[in-house]
Amino acid sequence: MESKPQKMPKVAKVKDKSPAELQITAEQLLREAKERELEIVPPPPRQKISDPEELQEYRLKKRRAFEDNIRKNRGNISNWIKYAKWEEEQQEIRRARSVYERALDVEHRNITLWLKYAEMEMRSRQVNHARNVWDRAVTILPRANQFWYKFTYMEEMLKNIAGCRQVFERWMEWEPDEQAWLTYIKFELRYKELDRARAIYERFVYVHPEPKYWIKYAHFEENHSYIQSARRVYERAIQFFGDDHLDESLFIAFAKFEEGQKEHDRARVIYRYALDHMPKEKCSTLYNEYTRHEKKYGDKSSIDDVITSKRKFQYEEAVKTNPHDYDTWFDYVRMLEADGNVDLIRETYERAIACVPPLKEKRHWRRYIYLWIYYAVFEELSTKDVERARQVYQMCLRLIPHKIFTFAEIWLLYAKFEIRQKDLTAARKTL
Amino acid sequence: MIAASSSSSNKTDKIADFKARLAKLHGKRNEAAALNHKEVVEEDRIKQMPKNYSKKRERLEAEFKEDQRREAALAEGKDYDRLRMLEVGADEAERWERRKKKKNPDQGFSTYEDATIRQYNRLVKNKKTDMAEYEKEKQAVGEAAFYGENNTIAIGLHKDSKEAIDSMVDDLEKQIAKRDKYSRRRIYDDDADINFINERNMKFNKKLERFYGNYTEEIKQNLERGTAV
Repeated sequence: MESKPQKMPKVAKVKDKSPAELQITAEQLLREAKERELEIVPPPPRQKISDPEELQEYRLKKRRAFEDNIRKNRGNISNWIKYAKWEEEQQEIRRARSVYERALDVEHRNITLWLKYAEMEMRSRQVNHARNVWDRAVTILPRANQFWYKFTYMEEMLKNIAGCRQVFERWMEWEPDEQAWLTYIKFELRYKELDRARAIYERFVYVHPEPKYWIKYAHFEENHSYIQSARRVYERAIQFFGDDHLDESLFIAFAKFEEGQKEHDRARVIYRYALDHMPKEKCSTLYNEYTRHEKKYGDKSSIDDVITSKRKFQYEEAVKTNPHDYDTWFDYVRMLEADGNVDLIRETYERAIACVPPLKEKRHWRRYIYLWIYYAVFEELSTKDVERARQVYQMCLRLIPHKIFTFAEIWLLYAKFEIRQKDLTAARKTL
Repeated sequence: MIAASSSSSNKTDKIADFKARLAKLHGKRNEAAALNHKEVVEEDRIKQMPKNYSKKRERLEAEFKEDQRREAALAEGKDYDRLRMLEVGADEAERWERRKKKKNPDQGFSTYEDATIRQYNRLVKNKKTDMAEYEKEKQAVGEAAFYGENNTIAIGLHKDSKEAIDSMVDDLEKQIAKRDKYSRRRIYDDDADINFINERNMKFNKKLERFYGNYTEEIKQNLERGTAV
């Protein structure tokens, strides 16, 4: 059939749409409602429980209320906990136990439930029951560290050290985080069991193979005055990490240890080794430590050594990036000259000279030429190697493309050099 | 007459002399008594005062002088601690450094696990280890089970003594007592806005405020004002 014509619902029509004079706000409404105190009911009359029947009645009432709450909302653990807590207060431990067990049926992964259950057993001095509860908790939720901590604490308080140790061993089987291992070690140290602590450290550094834990192990040995063992630990640590995973903190700690043992040569060797084998970016703290060590214990030459080696590295970096940056070359060779290592200087000069400027334009060559000049002067003055100096000059002259441009200085310098060598004929030829 | 008078004057002299001497002795006695009395009073006073009065006084005076010196340094604009360090010797400074107790301030709540660990460390630090009991236990249980691996079965070897259970329960009660003090009761603010209809509603609103309060402050101000800034 055709649908009935739609009728407008009968709603009271608002005739006057302007705001009323007396307005009220929501806050005002709420405040007035609160002041009227509509929801506050007087408390039920206090009943004194005078005989066992009344007690049973009271308990029945409460139990019924609790069970109702649980029935209404099984998943709300706080209902269960309140129920169990009340039963505990009534000294009905068996009932409390059953409540907790039922709650665990609902949610066995809830940590508070287990904690409260165990605490109830412990408070009621039911130690073996408590042990059972902890054992179950730890078996079902082995990654909840709180259980382990509290379990071991309970065993330790009960002076059951063997049991405590067993629990720790079970825990370590799960290879937990480092805090757990350190707790175990501290436990052994509390009873002065150094050998066992050492064994645990051994396992620990293999489970958590980080340099800082190796360092901790070595510190432990050092603190108990096992110096040889400490040294051995450091060496093993360095071997363990090999060349791929070098870490400066390990080297620094090792060197500091040797410093503490007044073995300064060993410390120096360690620093050198580390600096040689580690990539330059990660070495900054290492350098600082090395310089500090040398300042304290080295003589002047070693201090200079360190500083120059550091600057050398910096220069190497600089010239690698920009071989045509002649200023850096100048600084570099000047520093090396101050150092006085002839072969090295020569080698560096050769390398510097090898960086011929790309374009055959005089201005590029200007700086480059100075390199030659310095080289020649160095050969003449520092090494007094006349032959070499002559060779340098000749090579230089050969290198410069005299067709395009030439450098008067070179000719003049060469000539003057020959004069100095009292080789006047050569000088005249040059000019 | 003269003889008599001389003898009588002699006598009077003697008597006077005597009297004078007597008076002097009296005086001495009284003086002694007075001095004694004074000393008794003094001793009594010292006995009444607290045991470490002199030491305490010295300490207070030293502190007062310290404060004065600190003020002086501040007035001049210098750092008093540095000045003090300059005077102290190196080994003494080291001893001071070591004596300063390590503080362990509460960083607020992070996770339940961290809270448990913190509690565990605190309890274990304050616990005294009993080495005698340890040795006794070792003898009782036997070395093999005492240092067992994780698959040695050591059930039934340990007997719980009453004192141990008592101490454990006491410790547990202390932990529970401390836990109850964890949250403090806040004062009810009568003037605060009532935005709830119910106690439960009130707590929920407080929770919302806690979590979102920082971010909604501006919005609330705008609403209060009626227009955005």
